[in-house]
Amino acid sequence: MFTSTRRTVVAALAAAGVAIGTASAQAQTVYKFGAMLPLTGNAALSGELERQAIDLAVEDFHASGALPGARFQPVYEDMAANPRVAVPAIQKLVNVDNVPFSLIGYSSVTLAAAPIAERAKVLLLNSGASSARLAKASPYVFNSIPLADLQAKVILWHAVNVLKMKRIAFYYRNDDLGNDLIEYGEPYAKKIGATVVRMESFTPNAPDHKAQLAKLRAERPEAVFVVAAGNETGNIVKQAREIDFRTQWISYAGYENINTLTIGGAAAEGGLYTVASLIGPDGKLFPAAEAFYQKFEQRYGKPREKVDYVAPQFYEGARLYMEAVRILVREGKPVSGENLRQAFLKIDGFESLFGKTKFRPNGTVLKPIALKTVRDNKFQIVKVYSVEEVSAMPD
Amino acid sequence: MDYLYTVAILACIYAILSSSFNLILGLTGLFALSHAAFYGIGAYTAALFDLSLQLPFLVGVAAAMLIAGACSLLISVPSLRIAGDYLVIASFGFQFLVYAVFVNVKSLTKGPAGLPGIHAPEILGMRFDTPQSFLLLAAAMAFLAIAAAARISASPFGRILRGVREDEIATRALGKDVVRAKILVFTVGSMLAGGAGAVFAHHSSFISPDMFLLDESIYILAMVLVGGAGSILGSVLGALVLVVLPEALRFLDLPSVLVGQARQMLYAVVLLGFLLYRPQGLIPEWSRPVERIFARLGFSR
Amino acid sequence: MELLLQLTVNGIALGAAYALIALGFALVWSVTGVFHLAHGGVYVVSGYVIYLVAVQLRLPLAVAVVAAVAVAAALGWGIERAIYEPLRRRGAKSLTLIVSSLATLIFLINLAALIWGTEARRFEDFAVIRGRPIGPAFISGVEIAMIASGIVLFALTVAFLLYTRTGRAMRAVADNPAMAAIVGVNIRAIHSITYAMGAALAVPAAFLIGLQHGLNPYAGMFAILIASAAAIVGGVGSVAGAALGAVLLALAQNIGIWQLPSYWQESIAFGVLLAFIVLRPQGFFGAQAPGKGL
Repeated sequence: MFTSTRRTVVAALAAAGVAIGTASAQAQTVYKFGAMLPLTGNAALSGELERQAIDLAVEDFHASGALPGARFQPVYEDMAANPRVAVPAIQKLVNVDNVPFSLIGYSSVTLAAAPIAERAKVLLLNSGASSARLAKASPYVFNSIPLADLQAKVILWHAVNVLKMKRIAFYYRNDDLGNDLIEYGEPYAKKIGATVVRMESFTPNAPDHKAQLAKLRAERPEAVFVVAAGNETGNIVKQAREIDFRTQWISYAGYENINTLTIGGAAAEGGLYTVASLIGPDGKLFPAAEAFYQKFEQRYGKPREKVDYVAPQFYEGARLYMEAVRILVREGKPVSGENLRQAFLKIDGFESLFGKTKFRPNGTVLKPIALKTVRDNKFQIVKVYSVEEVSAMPD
Repeated sequence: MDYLYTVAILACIYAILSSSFNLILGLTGLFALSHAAFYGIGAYTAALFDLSLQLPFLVGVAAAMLIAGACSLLISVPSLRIAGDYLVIASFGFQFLVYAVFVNVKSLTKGPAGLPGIHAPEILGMRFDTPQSFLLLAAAMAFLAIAAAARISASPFGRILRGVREDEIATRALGKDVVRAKILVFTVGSMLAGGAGAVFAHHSSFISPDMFLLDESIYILAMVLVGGAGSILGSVLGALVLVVLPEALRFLDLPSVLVGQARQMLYAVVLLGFLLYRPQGLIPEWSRPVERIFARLGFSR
Repeated sequence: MELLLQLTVNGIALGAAYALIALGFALVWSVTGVFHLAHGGVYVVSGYVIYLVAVQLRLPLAVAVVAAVAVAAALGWGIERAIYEPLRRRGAKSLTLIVSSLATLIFLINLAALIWGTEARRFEDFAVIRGRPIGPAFISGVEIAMIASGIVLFALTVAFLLYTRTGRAMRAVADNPAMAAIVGVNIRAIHSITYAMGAALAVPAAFLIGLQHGLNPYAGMFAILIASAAAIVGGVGSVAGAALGAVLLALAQNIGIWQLPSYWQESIAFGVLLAFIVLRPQGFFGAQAPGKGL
């Protein structure tokens, strides 16, 4: 794996958790970091995109020359989107690869890995899961993705205050994310003056939604907040259309999935959802995001429509980590989990895919939130809520 | 090192699961797809005893075993009264039902989010809060469970169970209560699985419903068959092989999105290969080394 | 009432599609005695074969269906010849056969996932989006097709078992294999035909459910759970019972959540199954079945 004894020595030092921040232009310093991704199982497809995004982030950072002599080396571990598989995976990263840091996604996986990471003082950066519970998971869990409460808040606020909808129903995936969004969204909807007319749920991956949709239809909601993943959203809107249930679908970032278009077809048109915005106030992609999509297509031949919303998040996560390492090297501090925590909070002026990214002391981020819809079988921007506008909405 | 300890702890937990499932599948010839459900019931019971009632570890283990055993009666009593394939489908459905309960009875289980913060076990003032010390505890628990399974296997009751498997009618003709024997062994096997769940909950400190799904039951089934149906040492070996192998694969660079499915297919092929070409598994039942050792140590009879 | 009607319509349509899966499963179970879990794998693969031929290769739908029937039948026959038969020859018990069947199910599901991915696949071109009203409820074109094909194929299967030579031989084998062999029935051939026919019955279900929900490799697990539960509810050894059982389970799942929270939907099928095992283990038509194997 290592081509020179020098690197082996450096890696061994890193293994001992000793300072390796003294990089000179000649010496190649290897920085290993973990990436726990769903490389197998149902979510393997997004896992593969995430891996490609991280590889690309590393290549880009090396090419940028921002930290000469540094070589970043991701160590990929499969967690199969399953918390049981995650426990040995994080143990291996912590104890065998001795990484000070790992990217991670999936809320139950992150919750299972958190105590082990915390004990070993290894920082986890969640770039894939939106569960609001993760804000409080551990001091060693940071989130580079805006959590679900933020997304739910904006879409509900928009539906009630801009679209003047008062009868809202919820239809959610009966899992961690779904329950989490409902726990937050239901009281929030009531608080801002809406009536919650019905709440229905479905088992993850269940193909048939007609019974629940019939129950929802009976209440004649003006808007239905749907929390689904993968191909489920497409199935839901299509089956609703089949029983002639017409309503305004509102949703979170999960709506932006290619299956929503291929399965939902015409039924998916007009659905509104929120997602951390890659689009600036000028209506164009932030330059870093535009560059990401172009490079991604060049490198892997995948056009931007085929890239889900999580892959750029992992690209960003990896870049943030390398930025934090850069800060530590500049300060002459060792790259440890504890120091990385401090460094993340200092990140400022970093050219993010999302405009500006700044961490809050509790390890979460604020990003602009885009309101998007499906028009002409494409995901399109309706409006971008800036960080200031989002902060101004009641909590 | 902690990584190796973690793998070893998992091997101990799965050794309990596979040897207890072997009592049901290998010894008695009852096919059930619900072992992970009882494992999960044990884990949730232990977690709730720890988190909500703040009771000591060993009380939690005992409760986990009792409740898992009691729940097993729910499917064993109706479906084992009748001969045939009823247990297959009842256990298959039970696996789905238990998942639904874990997810939906939120007042108790916190739903899909799972239960975090389960404490490290403490016995008589000794805390097992490092992977190293926990391994000792897990190994001791595994030893007890394996000893119990081996003892049952070597006992006269074990002979009745083998009789049920080989020729149920003849066994009944000998005046044995076949139904009672089947229900009893199913209960004992499920209790041990519940105990394994308790150990797992305290080990991982976080449990959630998706840890105890059907593929977990199938995983345990594979351990029993690869190791050798009916052979307790075999199922320990089977657990070891199937826990260590996938972990070893982490160290091979297999950079393919297809690894997961290919691995599952490989498991299926290995299983079929064993059934077709080595149905006795790695360690055949008739060479019962562990049973003999335990018999010599005085565990048996 | 409008809601109840809608739930009933959904339940009957889905039940008719499940019935086709259950029909094949029950046929195999009653004639060969094997708890053929791999049937769920055959179901999944046949859906993807239609997708391959009709969507990926752009051949006419009729060609795709014929291809899928051929592949499914070959697969059913192949599983019997390559796995069950050698095991039986080695004196394997039914336990071993179930395990081998489960392994085959896992193999086929993951094979489909490997080739076509875990992302849902769609038959966009054939989808009938617009529903049509039945009173205040709605039924989709796919659902009408489900009910129609369910009734027609059920009737054809029953007629086949009652009035053809092969069908009668299948019932004879189901009833008493030893006796059937004595009167000159070729058991090996009948077994092979049964597997092939059972597999072929899964094809229309795979296509129609695929139209409705998209193709997903892991759907095979739930499909086989429903099919085998339906076979038990209907009565062990009763092919007609299995089809009815499937409709009953689908109706219970849909109507059950009329008053219950919908997250118990999957559990309802298990509740019905357990109730049958406790109260009426012989199922609808079990012990009193007029002709075994029907």
